[in-house]
Amino acid sequence: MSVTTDAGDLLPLHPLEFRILLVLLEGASHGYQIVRAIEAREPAAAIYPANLYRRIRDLLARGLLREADAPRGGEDPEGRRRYVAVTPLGRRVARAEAERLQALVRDARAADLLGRA
Amino acid sequence: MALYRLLLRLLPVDFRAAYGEEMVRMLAARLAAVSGPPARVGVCLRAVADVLHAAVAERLRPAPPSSSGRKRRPLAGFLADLRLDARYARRTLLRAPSFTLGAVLTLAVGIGTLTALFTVVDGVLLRPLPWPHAERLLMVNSPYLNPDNRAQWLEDLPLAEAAAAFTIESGTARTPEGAESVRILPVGEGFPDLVGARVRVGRGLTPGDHAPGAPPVALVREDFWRRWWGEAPAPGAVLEIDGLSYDVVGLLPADAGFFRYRDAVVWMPLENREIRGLSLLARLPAGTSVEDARPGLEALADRMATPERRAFVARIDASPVNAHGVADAMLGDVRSTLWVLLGAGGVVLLLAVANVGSLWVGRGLGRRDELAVRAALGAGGGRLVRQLTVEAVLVAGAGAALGLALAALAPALLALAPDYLPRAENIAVGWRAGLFALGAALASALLFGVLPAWALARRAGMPARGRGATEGRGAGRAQGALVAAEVAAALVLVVGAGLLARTYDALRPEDPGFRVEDRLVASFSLSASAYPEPADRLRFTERLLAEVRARTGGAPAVVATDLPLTGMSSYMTVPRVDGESLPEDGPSGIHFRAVTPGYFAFMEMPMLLGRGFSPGDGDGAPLVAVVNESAARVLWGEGVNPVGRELTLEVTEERGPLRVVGMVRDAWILRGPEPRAEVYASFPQLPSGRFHLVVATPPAAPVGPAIVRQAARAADPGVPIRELAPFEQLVSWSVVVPRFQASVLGAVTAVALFLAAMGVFAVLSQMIGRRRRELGIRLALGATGGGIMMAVLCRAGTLALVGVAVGTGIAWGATRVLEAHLYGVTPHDPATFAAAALILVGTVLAAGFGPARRAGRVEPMRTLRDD
Repeated sequence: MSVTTDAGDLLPLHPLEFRILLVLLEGASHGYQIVRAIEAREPAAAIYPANLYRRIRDLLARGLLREADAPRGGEDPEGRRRYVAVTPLGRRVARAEAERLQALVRDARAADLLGRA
Repeated sequence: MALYRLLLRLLPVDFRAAYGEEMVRMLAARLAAVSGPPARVGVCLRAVADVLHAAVAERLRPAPPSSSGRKRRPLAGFLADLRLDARYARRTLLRAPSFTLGAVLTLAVGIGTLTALFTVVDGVLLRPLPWPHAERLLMVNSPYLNPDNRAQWLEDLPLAEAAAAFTIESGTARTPEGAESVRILPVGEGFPDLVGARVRVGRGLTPGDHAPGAPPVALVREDFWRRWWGEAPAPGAVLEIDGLSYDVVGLLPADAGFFRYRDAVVWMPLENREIRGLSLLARLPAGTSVEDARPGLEALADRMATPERRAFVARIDASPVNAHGVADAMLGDVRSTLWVLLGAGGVVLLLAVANVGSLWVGRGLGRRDELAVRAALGAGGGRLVRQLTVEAVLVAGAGAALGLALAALAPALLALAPDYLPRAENIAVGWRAGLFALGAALASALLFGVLPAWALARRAGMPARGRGATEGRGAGRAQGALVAAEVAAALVLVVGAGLLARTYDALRPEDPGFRVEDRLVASFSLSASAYPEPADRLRFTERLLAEVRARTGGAPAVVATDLPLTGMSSYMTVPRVDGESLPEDGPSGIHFRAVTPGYFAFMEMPMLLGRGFSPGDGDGAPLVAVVNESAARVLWGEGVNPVGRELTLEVTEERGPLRVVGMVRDAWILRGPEPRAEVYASFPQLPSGRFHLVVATPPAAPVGPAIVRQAARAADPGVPIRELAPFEQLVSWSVVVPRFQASVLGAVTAVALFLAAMGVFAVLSQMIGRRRRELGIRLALGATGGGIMMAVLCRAGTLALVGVAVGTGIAWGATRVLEAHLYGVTPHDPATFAAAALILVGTVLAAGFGPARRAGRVEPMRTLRDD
């Protein structure tokens, strides 16, 4: 089904989905790694498990993510953690979302919402 | 964790199977990353909210297209049944309106009380502090830290990842309408970053601003700037503070602040201002605690100590360094109080649940026939339980809604203690309170409805019992135990409230020794730039007093550097008494204030020996002092006449000794067991830039705040009034904390007592209702009405005594948590315990009297005929 999917059809992304994609662009991770990465960038964000995994599940279902193997020599020798990684489609969608947001910010700046930059 | 797993069952099974384990691991990691019970509770609450949110979202989600071929979701069938149950439950409940209303109101009181207290705990303790990595911020104070050596301190500070100096000051800002007293936060380099303050307009402070000799600049809070100047500051805008002009380079957001200094509207480089003391703020690396830093800090303080300073620190018995986490420093005092209050709220809800539960069981017993019929018609046990559960949840839900409305009054609790609770502005009933009330309602429904429902449904399949003449023992015993438990719980609260009330009483001197009624206090701080010399300050106060007199037709007024029982008192060392140093084991110092002539008569403090100050004790005349009884005793010994003796104060070392001209009766200046030693000087001889003007405002005379403001403006429009309040209000500050504790716990306890009384009343009423046949037969067989009444009261009394015995045991252990808050009374005060026991036995007997009398008046013939 992803063959016919156009990145634009999947926009806008839920903010949490976008954050997850951003983290995963840097490589496959498991859930808690994702949370820590998001919270390191944005200390005010507080992400809790149930909604995180809902989003991951939806991203998997839409083909933006795929299940991945644990990196070898990583912190999870028994392989109990479920790793996920971005698919090429996920990468395209994330870029499209970023462009969409950039356009919005441009408009906001034009409306003088953000003051002098 | 087990609870969390249980909670995860709310999620769809396939989702749970795929991610459940991961979720549990993640929560465990999260819990491991925080320390301290409040933070843990916060994480748990948020995890619960997260699961509930996800569960609702999942259930509402349209089925994914891939599973379109599957059978109808079982949820749909479940929901349809649930709707039926709800309709049936509504009908059942409305058929017994007084029962339903009683249950809903009882639960509303319980849930409302607990939620109100939760709102306070949540706002003050649970919400994260608004500064980045607040849990790792450390505040350091030391008597060896001063503006000159702070660079060395900052450099050598152990462990710190980042650190900056800061202090808090007050100043006078010139505004378009005259002057306003403002709080100023002089900060060292890096402080704004450390507390996450971002400039909204303009620029932040740069290293150049901190360089010596740099032009003075300031950051101003947006709210303050807009209040006076409206627009954003134009480049080159200037703010004048204490006669110095500062370039306003940026605006801070209105919520910028640190620690308790939310009112600091001007931030500026430390170097721009002459400062007295200062503190350090440091951020520790992740995974370290204050305790890890402490040995290094102590060593550092030791290195920075100078011999003179060391001697001073030893004399006043100060500790060489104080280091506290920001949260501890800010919330330390109130933590235990608030948790105790929340616990008391929990007890109240348990009482409410016990009441409703006992009614529920009683009603369930009455409905045995109905349940048996429904079981016979094919309702499974599970279905019956669900039916009863839905009823319970409906009642609890209604109770929660009403309780939430009650909890919205929570912020009114704060009126009892202005300025006592830090972060009080966070206290509001919002979605967190709503969620909490909902949780409380579900837990209550589980306790009072679902557990009994299991028990009932198990028996529902059995044939309805024959109509025996006497009641079954099981139900009666369970209800009796419930009453005893309620009495025990209420007793614990009564004891706690009683101890706190006695503390409040002990702390409030019956006669403070001076007059507080009909007095208005205006506080001033003269800036050193406008009033550099003592003589200038004296001229201002003379002008001020003259203006007040002129405008009030001569209302008495005085000026004093400190006022008693307002929480502030200057304390200083006494280098010499009668020309000699004080002995080593003598007093370390004395409380000091300078007052204008007429002060003692104005305050209605009787002179015991000699005279008070007169206009002759002015600048240039010999220095004079008045001491109080305690000071005379401490400095010269019991029974020695101090008049004519001499003493030298820290502030008069260069000018010579003060000669004592009078002794005044002791008055309370700080709260505590006894009056303190005090010495008074004549204000014209030792004028200060910080002082209070006190004006008499007899009820008949039209002397009010407006006149005092006019007088101050006439004396100098550039001097703002720092604070203007009735003396009575300032004095109550000293008992604000015990008053808050005693009144809130007292109110909670009153609710608990009321619930316990209701419980006794309801249980006895139900019991008598069920035993009408038995009572009728007894009466027919010759028992007297009085005898029956006594028997019922005896039963109530026995239950009360059992409850009192158990409650006393619990209270004996539980009052230990109050120990730190008690004063003038021990946690095991026998009088309080005895009074509490009497109150409870009395309450139970009073509540049981009505039902007992009814039991004695049962008409035998009618009850027998009813069958």
